[in-house]
Amino acid sequence: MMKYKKIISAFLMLAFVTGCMTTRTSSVYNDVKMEDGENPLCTIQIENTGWFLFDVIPLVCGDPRFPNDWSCRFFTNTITLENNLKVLEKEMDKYKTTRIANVNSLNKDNFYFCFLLFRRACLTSAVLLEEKK
Amino acid sequence: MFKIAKYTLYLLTITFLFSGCYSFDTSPMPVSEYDTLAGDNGLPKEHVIVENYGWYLFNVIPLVTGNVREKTRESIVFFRDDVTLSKLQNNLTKYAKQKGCRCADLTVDYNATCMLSMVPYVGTTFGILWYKELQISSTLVYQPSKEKQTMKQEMDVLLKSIPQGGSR
Repeated sequence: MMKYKKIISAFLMLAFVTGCMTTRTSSVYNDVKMEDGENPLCTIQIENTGWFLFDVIPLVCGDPRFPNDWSCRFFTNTITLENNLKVLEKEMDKYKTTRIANVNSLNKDNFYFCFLLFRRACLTSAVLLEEKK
Repeated sequence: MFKIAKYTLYLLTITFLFSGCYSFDTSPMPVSEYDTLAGDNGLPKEHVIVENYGWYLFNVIPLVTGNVREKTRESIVFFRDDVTLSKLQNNLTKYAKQKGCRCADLTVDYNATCMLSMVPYVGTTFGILWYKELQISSTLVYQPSKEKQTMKQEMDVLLKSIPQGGSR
């Protein structure tokens, strides 16, 4: 019984402390166009989260090489705008477009346990547009 | 110890009963008939913000979220993930289509936290219980008819031609 409790606690702590790189997309537009009559392809939101000690020492962060894969990197700070834009570039390649609009980024920080543990998140959103013919 | 556990359970039950919320806010843009939005030639009509939030187990399993489906009485829904970009964007674009407008300046904001320190007796949940929130905002732009566009161009020319002068 104690063995199972330890496994469950370890699993919970792992779930609690892992970082993650996630991309959320939506191509639902109901035939509505974007500014200046542009045809949208996809709205995309990229989020990279990680945990830091005293907001300085990275413990675990999302891996930008494998978004949506629950993979993470230990003791490496990957929560950067550059990484988010690299993922955005990959998504643009996937949708075969070079046109983009409404690019917006935000940084979010939360601290816990009297400033000991920090959770950082970098979010970037954008709308991919169809190539002009 | 038992009392604290009991009150925590009551509080969680109450939280679940009243939490999960979907909102759709609009506001007319404070512009005149001949103003345009930077980067767009149309007339900005309304600014819209759509928001939904809910509670999840391990940040994956939805427990209770706001109900995004229209024409229903239930304001919350159990075990269905309605805090998604597709569902919120669907509602936003349906509204834009209804108004005969297109979307400009579409932005997305997302927040997820597993800490409930603001809830008394609950404190941290160590990654078990998560709160997720998604917001999407946009300006609805109306494309005026060609007649109005011509009128606007004529007005611009007229305004530029008025000589600037001081008082006598």
